[in-house]
This record gives sequence, C-alpha cells and structure tokens, in this order.
Amino acid sequence: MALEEIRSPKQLLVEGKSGVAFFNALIRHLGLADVQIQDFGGKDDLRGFLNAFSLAPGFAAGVKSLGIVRDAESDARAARQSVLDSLAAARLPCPAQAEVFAGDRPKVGVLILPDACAPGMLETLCIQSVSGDPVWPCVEDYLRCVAEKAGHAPKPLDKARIQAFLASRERPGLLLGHAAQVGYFPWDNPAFERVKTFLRQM
Amino acid sequence: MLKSLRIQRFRGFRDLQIGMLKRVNLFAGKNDTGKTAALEALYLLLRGEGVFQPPFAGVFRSVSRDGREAEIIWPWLFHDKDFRRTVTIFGSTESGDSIELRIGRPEDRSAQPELPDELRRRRYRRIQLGSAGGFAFHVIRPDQMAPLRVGVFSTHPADPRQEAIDYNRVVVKAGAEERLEGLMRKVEPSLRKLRSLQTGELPLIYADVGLKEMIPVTQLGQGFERLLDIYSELMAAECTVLLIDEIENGIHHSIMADIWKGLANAALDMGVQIFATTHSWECVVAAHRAFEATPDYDFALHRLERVDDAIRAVTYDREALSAAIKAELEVR
Repeated sequence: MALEEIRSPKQLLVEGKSGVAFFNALIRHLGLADVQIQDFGGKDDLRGFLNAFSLAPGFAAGVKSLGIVRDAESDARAARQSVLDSLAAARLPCPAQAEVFAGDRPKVGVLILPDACAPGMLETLCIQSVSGDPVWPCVEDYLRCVAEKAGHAPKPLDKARIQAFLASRERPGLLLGHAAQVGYFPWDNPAFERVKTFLRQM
Repeated sequence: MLKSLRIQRFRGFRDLQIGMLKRVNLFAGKNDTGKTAALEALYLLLRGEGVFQPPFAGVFRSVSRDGREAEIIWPWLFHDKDFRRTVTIFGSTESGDSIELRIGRPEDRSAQPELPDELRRRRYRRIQLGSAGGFAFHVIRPDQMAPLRVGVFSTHPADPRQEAIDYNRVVVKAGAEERLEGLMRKVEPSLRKLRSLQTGELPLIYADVGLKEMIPVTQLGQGFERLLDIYSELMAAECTVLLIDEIENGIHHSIMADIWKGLANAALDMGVQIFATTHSWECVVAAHRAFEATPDYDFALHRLERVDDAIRAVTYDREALSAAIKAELEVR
C-alpha cells in the first residue's frame, strides 16, 4: 500500500482528486516542481486531516510552506473562517490576510475559490477562464434549455456548466482535473492570476 | 499505570518526553529512532530490584559471548557515551506518584541525589539497586510502591520451557484454558486444544490441530508461538506491564485485527499496561480499529522521529489517527 509521504518543503492541500489533478497541471505549467500536492478529502475532512498531517513524519522537520485551497461554496467568508479554525485546532499559524502567507515553519496561506469574496468553487474559476470561448454561448443556451424542459437547473450549476463546456472539446468526457492536464484551460487568462500569485508565494 | 514518561541522556535520547501514555501504547518510527531503547528505558525504570536479573544485556538485544559486556552494553546507555552526565528516566503514574531512575558514576552526586523535602514528606525513598559496568543505579519512588512485574517479549525466539511454565500458570485458573484456546484459534483455526506435556526431559506445549498426534507448538508458526507466549503472560496476570518489541513479528497482517482485539480485551480485563513497537501499517490500523470498539479508546500511537538532531515523540490520539488512516497518511 502506498501511503502519502511528505517529500517536499512546500505542501499544497487541495480538495479531492479533481483538485489534485488540476493543481498538478497548474504547478507544472508554472514550473513549481518543488510543490507537493495533497488531497485533504472534502471540506468536512480538513480539520482531521490538518491535525494528522501536522503530526506526519517529516512535517516538523521539513515543511516550510503550507498552502490550503478550498471552495467558497455558498459563503467565502465562512469557508475561510472554517479553514482558520482547523489551522488553530492543529496549532498551525493562522494568516490574518486572505491569500497572503504568514507565520514561520511553516508559513501558511489560505486561498478560497473562486476568489476571496464570491460564492463558488474551482469550477467557477475555470468557467471565468473559458467564458470568452466561442462555444460558451452554446453552453449557456444548453443549460437554459435543460432548465426549461426539466423544470429545474442542475446543482451546483457551475459543475454542469463546466461539464457541458468540456463536452464541446475534441476529446469529450474528461473530468476537470484531466481537462486541465491536457490543456483545455488557458493558464494565461486573468482569471487564474490570483491562484498563480498564491502558488508563487509558497 | 504510567501516565507520562521522560527519558534524559539515555541512548539516542537527549530529552524525550511523552505526556500522554495510555493503557496500550504503540511505538512506531523509522529505524534507529529509539523504539527498542524506549522499551529498555521502561524496563530499567520499572523493574526495580529485579533490574539485573535476568541479565539486562540479553533482554532486548543480542548478547556478547566474549565477556566484553561491560565494554559493549553499559557505556552505551549514556547519550553520546558521555558518562559525566547522569541518565534520568522519570515516569508519573495515574495515582499522582512518580518513579525516577538515575544511572551514573558512583562518585557523581547527581546519580544519587538527596531527596527534596517535598518527596521526603510524601514518604519517597532513594534505593540503590546495584551497579553494573562501573555505574550506579538508583531509583526514587514512594516507600509503599512495590517493583512492578514487567513481562518482556523481545525479537528473540521464545524459551519453550518457560512457555510451558507460563501456560501451566494460566490453565490452573477456571475458564482460562478455554479462553486461551479461543484466542489462539483466531491464529490457527484448526486448533482443538493445547496441552503442557512432559515427554522428555523438559515440559513442552503441544497443540491438537487435527493431525494424527499432537504437535509441539515450537513446530507451528513463529507467530503462533509468540502470541501464545504473550497471551499466557497476560492471562497469568502476574505482570502489570508488558513490553513487546516488534509485535507484528511472524504474524500475518490479515489476523492483526483479531490479535489486537485479544490484546485489548486482555489488557483491559487484567489491568495490564502494554508498550509495543511496530514497523507495520496494518498493525497500527488493526490496533486503532480494535480500540475503537472499546468504550474508552485507551490507546495511543507514539511515533519517534529525529528532528534537528534530537529524537522526539509525536503522539496520535483517536481523532488524529483516525484522520491519518482515512487519508492514508504515513504515521510510522
């Protein structure tokens, strides 16, 4: 059985396998080879994960920078506070400012997606990056039509929107993380600037 | 029962502190982080007057057969082999008492300190246990505290004769034979019964596993014999502390859950405190699961690790271990 081990002084904790694949693609694009990504599970798992991760072999001796990325879902402020509470419970530094690293060994930063204020998730950020794509109006039309015919909209809507968009690519059916790895999201789009700035601070 | 432990200047430990000991404690960690040394420290601390019998040299480690014990064993108890600094091993108990062992040169006052007034008032005594390798051993403990009976299971092969004696001590207790056989059946489902028999010069334990005749347990798997040994010691209830080095030795991971269930129940029933070491992830998971099924989860995992040239202990409670197992994070 392959257990997750700490191999790098820069640790990025993200939500779920899709998040791992997405951020792996992005850090490779940025050339940040020394950032190791860990899957903390779902939002309700973060507190326990941080507790265990801060005790893991190599953490005390080796981790210098710890980034945590979480979806805002319906409330960005509450999501950030929940991360800070989990950090405090694990006796880790709690950064006062959003998206700014603070503390020492490790310095810690928290990034709430899609930004520090709006509700949403990783998919919301990806949508912002592709909303100028020529097929995007087709995606919106499709989901509007679905809502009319079915009498309800899919929830969360942004997950449906990004899947509809990915269904329009040459290789349809990829999940978000895989799509990021094959280059379906334009990394140079301004939508990704905050995330890139955050990762470069690590 | 010990609630905390502090080991200073002993073997690789400069100053190791473990503040949350439980009924059952599992030490994990990479090689050369002091897992066996932690058991040795507990042994020296708790054996009291019996600390030199049997000879300490062979309790956990291979014995030098060439008479160089004084040279090979005792000096290396001192951190960095620095005899000028006294070894101190300190434990506090559930009842609020403490016990402290000092090892040092006989002329060194810190190896045999005067008792502070506070301890005198509480009727503590400093007792000279003896000396070995030119070093004096003193213990400071409450007057009424008797030395604990410490059972040790090292990685050495078991002594078949002692096994038979322990087994006989178990089976004289009502119902104990059936219980022991029930526990051992988890390891060897074909087991029908166990018997201590003397067919030659020495008694041996034999097992009926459905063959034409009973087989000496020394001829069954190493795991079977080791567990029989451990369970016998537990059920004889004559020890209050068990020290088990590399508990998973010879035991297939698929039965670790049953083993831990047996150990957990026996430790709780008999009031025995267990300290064991492991390298095995399956062993850690099985112990966690076994104690999750108990009312109080009286179990902790302590990983020893080297940080900045010192060894420290990282203790996982139920919540932390549960999260680590769920996320498949390394804990060893």
